[in-house]
Amino acid sequence: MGNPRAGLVRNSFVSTTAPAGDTRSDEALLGAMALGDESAAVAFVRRYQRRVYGLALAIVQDARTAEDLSQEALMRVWQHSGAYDVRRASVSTWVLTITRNLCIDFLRIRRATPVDPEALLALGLVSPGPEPGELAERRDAAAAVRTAVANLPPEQARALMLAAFYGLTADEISRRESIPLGTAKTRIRAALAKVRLALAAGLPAEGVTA
Amino acid sequence: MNPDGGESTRPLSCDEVRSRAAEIALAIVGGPERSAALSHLDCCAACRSAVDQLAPAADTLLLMAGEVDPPVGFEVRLLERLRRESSPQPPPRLALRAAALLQSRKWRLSGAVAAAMLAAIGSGVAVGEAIAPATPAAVQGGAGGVTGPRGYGGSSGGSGLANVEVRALRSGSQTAGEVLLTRTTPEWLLMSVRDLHVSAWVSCVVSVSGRVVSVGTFQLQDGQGTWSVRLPRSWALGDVTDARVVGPGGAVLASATL
Ligand SMILES: [Zn+2]
Repeated sequence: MGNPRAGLVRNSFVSTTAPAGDTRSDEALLGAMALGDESAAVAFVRRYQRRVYGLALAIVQDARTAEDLSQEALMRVWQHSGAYDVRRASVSTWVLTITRNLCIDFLRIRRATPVDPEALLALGLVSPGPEPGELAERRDAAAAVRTAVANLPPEQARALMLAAFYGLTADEISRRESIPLGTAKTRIRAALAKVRLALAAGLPAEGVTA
Repeated sequence: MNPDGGESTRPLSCDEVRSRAAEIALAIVGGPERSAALSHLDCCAACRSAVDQLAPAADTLLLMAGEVDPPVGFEVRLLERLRRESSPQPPPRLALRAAALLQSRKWRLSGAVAAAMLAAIGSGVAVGEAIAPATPAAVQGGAGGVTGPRGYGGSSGGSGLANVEVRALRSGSQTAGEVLLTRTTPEWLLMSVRDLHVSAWVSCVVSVSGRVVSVGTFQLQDGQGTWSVRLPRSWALGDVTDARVVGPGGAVLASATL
């Protein structure tokens, strides 16, 4: 099989320069990172830092804390880069889920109250400039999901935000919103079903019945 | 994610799992209920598909946060930390020695020897001392070498071996080493790899309660390497169902079913 990277070890990075626009796929970068290729780590960090930091900031609402948590998230990505399983999730989902989970753990340890989910709904509404290829696609996906959520009944949107971003359980949502547990479960279920259908159809959520 | 303290859980019915599919996809089902849901999904394709249909939408929600420039210096600080922490963690010394011994003997170990060695790992007694008197017996268990799957913990196992399992590591149709798992608390996993024809850092990835988790990385040189790790205490006996050697590109180089 003969591995061209034979002999590389993690504690002696081979390169400290990353090409400006590394064209390797996310998966290829993860693989190279696992081998200790620093140029891959640099390229990966550049590719993901704005998404990771944006998510952390959205959840914890504090720049300093968001930076710490983002760094920790990207460290974990690097530490587990060899274990990423392409069959289970996209790299982007994997990275963002790691970030989200760290933020949720942080909030739970601090017993911090999640910020009002309305703040999340107002996020990222700055209109992006014209961007090439992949970035534009990602922004389209973000815009589509924002539209889908914005079209939900407000109480369903809130329940969904509290679950997706703050990891609140149905029980916690029912207490926070002073509603019966069954109602909280129904809101979560209905909201996610509508978002799924809206994303699948490329339509706003109100245009579909779940 | 949040392993419960061994609380026994009631199995969930299909209806119960379906009614929680959204919560499962959003990963907000916690504790014992989560374990019950995951075990149900493990063996029920219909419920799994119900959750899988919702999971992409749940994942996409995170994109709403948008992209924000991190503070100045973020990248530099992160890369410095990455360099600082990039030396691999050495496995615990005793376990390393035990693994080296196992490797040197190519698994021609009697059950008693393996048990003594593993007891030594658990109790902190020097492995060398525990193993030395038993050496004459060392080849008794398999003079020809153990080349296939061999469950020391099976009914044919020798004294005190109910808590050790040895399985062949398979790469395609070839045997590429062995995996040993102690059925103790905590569990230890020892991996001995050979003939993989790569020199690279590889990950040891296990399936535990339906999740796939990396338990560490180690180096193969000329296709060989021996390595061990103590698994998290929170994992219950029998939770680990397989172990894999995953290469740098994410490819599974070898695997063993436990
Ligand atoms: Zn079912």
